[in-house]
This record gives sequence, C-alpha cells and structure tokens, in this order.
Amino acid sequence: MMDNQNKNTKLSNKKIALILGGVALLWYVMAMYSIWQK
Amino acid sequence: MSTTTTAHHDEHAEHPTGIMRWLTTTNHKDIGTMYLTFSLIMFFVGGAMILGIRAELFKPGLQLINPDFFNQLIGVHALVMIFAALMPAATGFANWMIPLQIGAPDMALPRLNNWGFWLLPPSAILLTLPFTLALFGIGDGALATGWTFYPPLSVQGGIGVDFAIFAVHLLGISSVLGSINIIVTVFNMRAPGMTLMKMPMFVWGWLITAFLLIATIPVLAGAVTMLLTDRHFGTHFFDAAGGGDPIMFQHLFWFFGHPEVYILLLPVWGFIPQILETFSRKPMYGYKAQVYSFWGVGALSVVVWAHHFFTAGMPVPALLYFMYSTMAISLPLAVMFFCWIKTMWRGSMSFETPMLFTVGWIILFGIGGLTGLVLADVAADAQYHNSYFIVAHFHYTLFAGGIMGIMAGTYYWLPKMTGHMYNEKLGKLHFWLTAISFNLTFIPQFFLGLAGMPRRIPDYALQFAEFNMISSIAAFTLGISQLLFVYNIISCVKGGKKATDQVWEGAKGLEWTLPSPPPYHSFAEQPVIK
Repeated sequence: MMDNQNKNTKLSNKKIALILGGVALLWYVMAMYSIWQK
Repeated sequence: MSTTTTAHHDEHAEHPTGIMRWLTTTNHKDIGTMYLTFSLIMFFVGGAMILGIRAELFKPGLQLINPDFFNQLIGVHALVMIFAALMPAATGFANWMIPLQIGAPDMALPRLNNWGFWLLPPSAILLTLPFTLALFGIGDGALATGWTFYPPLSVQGGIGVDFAIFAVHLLGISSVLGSINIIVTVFNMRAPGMTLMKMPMFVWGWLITAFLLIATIPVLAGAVTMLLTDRHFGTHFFDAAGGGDPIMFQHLFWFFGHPEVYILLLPVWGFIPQILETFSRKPMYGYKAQVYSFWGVGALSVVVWAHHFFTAGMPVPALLYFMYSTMAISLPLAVMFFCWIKTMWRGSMSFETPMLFTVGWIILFGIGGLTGLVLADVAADAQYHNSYFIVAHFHYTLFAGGIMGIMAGTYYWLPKMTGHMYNEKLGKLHFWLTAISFNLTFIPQFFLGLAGMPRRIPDYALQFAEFNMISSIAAFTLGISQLLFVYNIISCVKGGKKATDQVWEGAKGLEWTLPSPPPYHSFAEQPVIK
C-alpha cells in the first residue's frame, strides 16, 4: 500500500535509516574512544 | 490549505485480534496507542514513588522509609518519569499524529516501529525489578545515585546500578530507532504539496527532537557503557582512585541530559500553537519565527550542558561561556512565547479543557523558564545548586511544561483518536485540581530552596516543617486528581457523545479531515496539499 506514496527525497527509506543508524553507532563508538584517549 | 480527503477503506482493515494484534502490529495508530497506554501506567508507577517520598517528608525525622530506600525512590522516580512516562507519551502522539498530519498511510518503517515499542516494557522491568529482588534478599535495591549516575557513588553502588545501566541502553536503542523512523517518515512520506515549511508545528517539533536524540543518546550510552566497565572489568575511566575523572562523567551525562529537557519539551511546543490557533479561531502567529526558534533552541541545547554543575569546578572562562550561552536560550523561547500570546490576541477564544491546559501551561512553563534564567547565573547558582529551588524549577519545566502539555494534547486529540467526546466538566475539574495542587506542591519548594533546604534528603531541619507539610498534602491531592484523568480517558474510549470529523470548530490540518476515529489504514489515497 505504501508503494504508491510520495518519496520526497532521492534516497529510499532504508537508505536514510541506514545513514542515521550508522551515524548513531559511529557517534557511540567515538564518544567512548575520545574518553579512552583522555 | 485545502486538501482532498480519503475514503474509508474497510477492505484494508483486516488485522489479528486479541493479544496478537498488539504483539505483532505494525500499524502506527496501534503502536501509538500502546506507547500512550504504557506511558500512562508508568506515570502512575513514578507517581506512586514520589508519594512515598512526600509521605516521608511530611514532617521532620525519619518516619516511614529508610534513607537508602529513599535515595532509590528518588532516582527511579526520575528515570521512570523521564524515560518511561514523558518520552513514550510524546512518541505515542508522534506515532498517532505525524502520519495523519503529513498525509502518510503509516510510519516509514513499521516493523522497526513495533520493535522500538517492545523494547520499552523490558527496560521498565529492569528499572523496577531490583526493588522486588531486594524483598527476596537478592541485591540491595534499585540504583541509589539519583537519575544522574554520578561516580564515585555509581561505581560503588549495588546491582541496581547495573540494572539501570542496561535499562538505559534499551531505552536508548528504542529512542534512536523511533527517531530514525520519524526522520525518515518526515523526509520521505509527506503528501504532495506538503513542503517542509507547510508542515504542522508538531511535526517540526518532533523532527528536531529526533535529530537531538540521535546526537545525544549515543553519548549517554557510551558513558554508561564505560561506567559498566569501571564497575566490572577493572577500568578506571571515572574512578578517581585509579586515576580516572569523575567530573568527565558529569560532562558526558549532561551533554545528553540538557538536550533531553528539550527532547521532552519540543513535541509539546509543537502542538501548543496548534491548540492555541484552534481555540482562538485565528491563524497561528509567526509560524516561520517558531520554526526558526525550534532550530535555535535545538542548536543551543547541545552547547550549554555544564550549567548543571557550575559548582563542580571549572575555569572562569568556561563558567562565563556556559552562563551566557544558557541565557541565550531565552531569546528563541521569548520569540515563541510572543507568538503564542499573539496567536490568542483578539482571537475568538473559548476555554474547553485543551485550551485551559494550554493557557495554564503557558503561565506555569513561563515560571519554569524564568527560574531557569536565575539558575543560569553562576553566582546565584552557587547558592541554589542542589537545593529545593532546583527541584521546584525543573518540576515547573517538566511537570507543567511536559506533563501538563501532554494532558492538553490528550484532551485535544482524544476525540479524534476514540471517536467520542470526553466529559468536559470532568476535564475542567481535572485541570483546576491539577493546576492548583501543582502550584501548592512546588511554590513552597522554591522558598524551601531559598532558605537552604538541600534536595535528596529524607530528613530536614525543623524550620522547613510547615512548607514541607503543605507540599506533601498538595502532592497527594495532585496525585489523586490524576485518577480523574484516567477515568475520563477510559470513559471516552468506551463510549460517549459521538465526535464529529473536525471535532473542534477552529481545528485545521489533515488529521481533522479524516473520520473520528480514523480508519485502521488512513490515506490509502494520497491527499494533495494546495
């Protein structure tokens, strides 16, 4: 049903979700890495 | 804004029934309902904890609760109210209303949506289970560190801290999944013609909230993960005895903790102007100014965190920076307050329950904001820090600004969600009892703080007795008043006067073009925004 819906960006839903999830995961690791370095 | 509306597509309405409907659902309205129900239950769990605390504080001396259990109640009350009551309530409305407001048939990632919700009950169990385990002689109760997990107390604490750390991880995953879903939905699922600057304010509020969650939750998760390794794997990141830095944890916690305040408030700031324009029967004033103010608050919220621990010690330039940047948040907020008041100005206003809650909200949240400005002052904060002044301040922002806002939204959208009108007389009674008892609970706490009563203590000096007694009686009144809210919601779900599609005379937006209640699958045909 949702296939007939609008897509306001050039990216698919899955791609945007993966990018955001990747950013969150990277941010989690970076936060710990920066404390580790301190 | 004119639109074409959808038909009721009964042929799409098949779904499992009974428990399987709720376990397996990917429908945004079902998931929204589960979030809202969960939030209401946890609101009462967290409320029961604080009534235990207020009973103990009714008079000086130790009466009912031993000090360690008192500390546990303080910490878990805050975690439950923030993570399991307020955030799920806002997420529940997001699930219900964002697709309806932007003309989408559902959230972009429905299975992820289901997963995001079902992570919540286990985390609520993790938070509260240590209380039960302690009754059977296992462990020494829930975390007794306050909701902030500050080391060294959290490094030395019992298993309650571990339970809370795992609960925060699960809650964090749930929040990030929910945020991803909301961003994707808003970016990719808007109806034709619904440009970003035509989106309802509630959608804007949630979009910025979702970005804030993705920016800050991973940092909190990282900090508590390292706290866990300090506790069990021999590291010393935050343990001064091993060369670690406990103040570093405070920085990391509040890098999340301060934006969290706006994470709780931005969704409310979203629907408040919508309620105001509905019951003032005139267009919202300053739509663009409010959207830019949202962005301003969102950006500033991640650069002001250290004002939560001015007294922990930091260089003077840092104190000055955090003081001025904190005060700068009042600028976009002042713009919003102006827009809210100007929306009502010379409007044809009526005061149904959602509007009563909204006007009350503006006044009470205003008090919360102004007392925050006092606390942003480094010199003044040296006196007020860790006093009851703080407790009163953040309850004006989080109970009045958060929960009373959610109540306004509940009364506003309940007829749309259930198809029935709630009992207006009972709603108004609920408002007045809540507003009066809330003020009687927390105004005395401002004075207690100014007079020097510290927070998080089960006993106090005799001179604080009267104000504490007033506060405790009012807190019980506040708690009991909320039963009216539950009764009104349950009655409304069960039946009552039939709600029209538009429900409110001045209501605008796509959600009001659908039947009340909306069909199980809405917008099977796309609406077009002109």
